[in-house]
Amino acid sequence: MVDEDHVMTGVYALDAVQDDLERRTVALHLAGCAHCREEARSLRETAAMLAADAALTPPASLHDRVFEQIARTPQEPPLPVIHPAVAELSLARNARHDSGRGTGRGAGRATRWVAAAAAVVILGGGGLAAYGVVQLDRARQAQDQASRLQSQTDRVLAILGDPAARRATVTATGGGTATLYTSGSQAVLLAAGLPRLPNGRAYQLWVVRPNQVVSAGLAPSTAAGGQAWNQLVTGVGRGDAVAISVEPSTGSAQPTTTPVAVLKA
Amino acid sequence: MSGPTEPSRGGRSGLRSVGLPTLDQQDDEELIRRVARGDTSAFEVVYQRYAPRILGLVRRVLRDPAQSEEVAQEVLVEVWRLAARFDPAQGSLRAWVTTMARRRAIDRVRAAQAADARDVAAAAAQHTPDFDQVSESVEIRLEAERVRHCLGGLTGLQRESIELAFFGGYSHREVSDLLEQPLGTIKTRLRDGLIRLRDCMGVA
Repeated sequence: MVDEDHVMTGVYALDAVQDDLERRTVALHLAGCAHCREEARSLRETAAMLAADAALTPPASLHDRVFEQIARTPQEPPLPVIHPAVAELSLARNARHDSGRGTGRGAGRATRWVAAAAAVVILGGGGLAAYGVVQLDRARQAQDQASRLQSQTDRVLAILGDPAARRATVTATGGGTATLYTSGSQAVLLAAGLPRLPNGRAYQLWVVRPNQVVSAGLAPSTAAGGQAWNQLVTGVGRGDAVAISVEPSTGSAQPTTTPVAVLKA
Repeated sequence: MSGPTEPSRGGRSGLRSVGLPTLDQQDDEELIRRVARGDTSAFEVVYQRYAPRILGLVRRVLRDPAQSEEVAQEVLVEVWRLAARFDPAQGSLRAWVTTMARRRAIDRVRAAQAADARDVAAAAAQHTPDFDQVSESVEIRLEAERVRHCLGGLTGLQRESIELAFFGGYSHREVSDLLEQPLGTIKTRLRDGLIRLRDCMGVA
């Protein structure tokens, strides 16, 4: 049985979507469905062959104009390729380095954390300015909830700085990476490069226990814009998993879509 | 005519048979990589391969010959300009240029619809159309033959829906209105029609 979303591969391949929102909604579905993605790709290749049926011999004047124009048209450089894993690794290394020296504490450690983030930005060619950490730092300056966030920041730093923290990383469906550091019953999820979401959608985290799934809250709203983010997850037991799914931005009581990433805590 | 008096020619073809591919034997990925490095002779081969399809597609969408040439020129220059951004992981060069050409042509149609229709009609009337020549490229003609054969294997509704969406630039909703069929039917026909085409044409 082909469901409503799946049947859209043809529409998508022909770019016959109603508008940009619908295009993104379909793209989101494809992101969570490897089979649909492959189908859309092959159908797009098929559609591209239809142009052969219309092919015409171009007049020589078109050739002349094109070559005259390219002679004075500079070419764009390739888009910078930033692999989130690279940044994430360097971040982890920095965090471990801090804890290794045994001096990291409070503001001093946070400063180095921000410095590490800056290094990541340089390493990543600028595209990673949003690597979550920046939000952490900004959050600390926010007027309301300042102290709560401060303590969250500290907890995040404590987990990342724990040399005994367990680390799991996966490539999310649709792209990007998610990494989970677990220390005791607390975990930090770092996500980078996950797809942007259409309006009204958000990433939501879940703790998956042997016989229940509990919400661990919505990701920061900037996550839906494609920015990297991090989130503290509490109440994680041995053998549990942490999952990320796409939900309405108001959040769901239980996951309503296939998770884009599942990480063993 | 070449003959025994031209030994160099024989020598060159000998070299070819040893296995040094000439530029026009390179595959699309290698060609576009070269284009990305500013290689105009590689772009010449890309032009030979894709200009007929780009122009033909744009012309089918736009109808107006003068505007079609303008748009085809824009697309080809765009291929040159953005060559380094082509990502083979996302699909073939053919799919990339086709998508670009189709979007540009449809944008132009919509802009024309938004502009004063009389101006557009006047501009179209002023142009003396060249007579259209089907592409003489053997490769393209074989592909066109295959497309036509496989389109013949579709149901009328599948074929109409696909052609309206692809060449007409209509959304599924518009196709549904035009053909007076339920939206769900159109979505399904677009998909199963394309699947049948794909399987018939042996697209990987």
